[in-house]
Amino acid sequence: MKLFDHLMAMLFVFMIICSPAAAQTLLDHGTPVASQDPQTAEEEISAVAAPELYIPDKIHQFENVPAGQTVTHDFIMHNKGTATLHITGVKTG
Amino acid sequence: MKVNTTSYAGRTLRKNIKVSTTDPQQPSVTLSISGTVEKFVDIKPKYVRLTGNAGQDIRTLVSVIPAPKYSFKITEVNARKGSDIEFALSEKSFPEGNGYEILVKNRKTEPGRYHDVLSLKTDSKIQPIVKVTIYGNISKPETE
Repeated sequence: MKLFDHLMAMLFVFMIICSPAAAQTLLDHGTPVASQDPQTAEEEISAVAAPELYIPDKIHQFENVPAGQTVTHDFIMHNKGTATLHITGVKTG
Repeated sequence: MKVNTTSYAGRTLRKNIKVSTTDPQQPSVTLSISGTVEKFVDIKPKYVRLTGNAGQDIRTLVSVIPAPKYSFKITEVNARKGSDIEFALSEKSFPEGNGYEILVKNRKTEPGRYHDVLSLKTDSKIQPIVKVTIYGNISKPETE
């Protein structure tokens, strides 16, 4: 029995030397391991990175003006996200 | 965003624009601009129509009354073409306040239509020129 215990101990030490990850897996059963597949990893990153539009004022109320004047206002748009924000269209109406 | 207020005198102007973006949470956003547009001047009638038969005396009086808030003086009157009309400017008091009266007369002797624009030069920085549109429609002379 003692010999068996010695053999098991030696086997465990051998596993740590050869493959620490495998030994860790052996110790932590059930611990999730991140995907080693590059395509899956890329998908995980792109799912997180996204543009985030932020407009402080979407409505502008101008002061009384006489007819004939041109009213001009700049709407400020920010991107608070982690990917590039594109304006794909502007329609009047 | 630029908005021309010319045709909104005495009314509330509201304009929207719809912006499409690549933000997955806000693929479309509406931006809005609004406000009150005040009258700068009251012109009656809004458009001058000189209609009648050739040879007749065809004329119209146009009243031009500045809004009290934007009071101005007319310093000069010019017609864009001027070949079919004649005009005369005079100062006049109206119940609404002091203003001007413009007498516009037809000069066209042949049947036909025409279009002209009177430019009223003002001493106002807000609207240095006020325009009055004129439409003429002269028919054949009446036969007795």
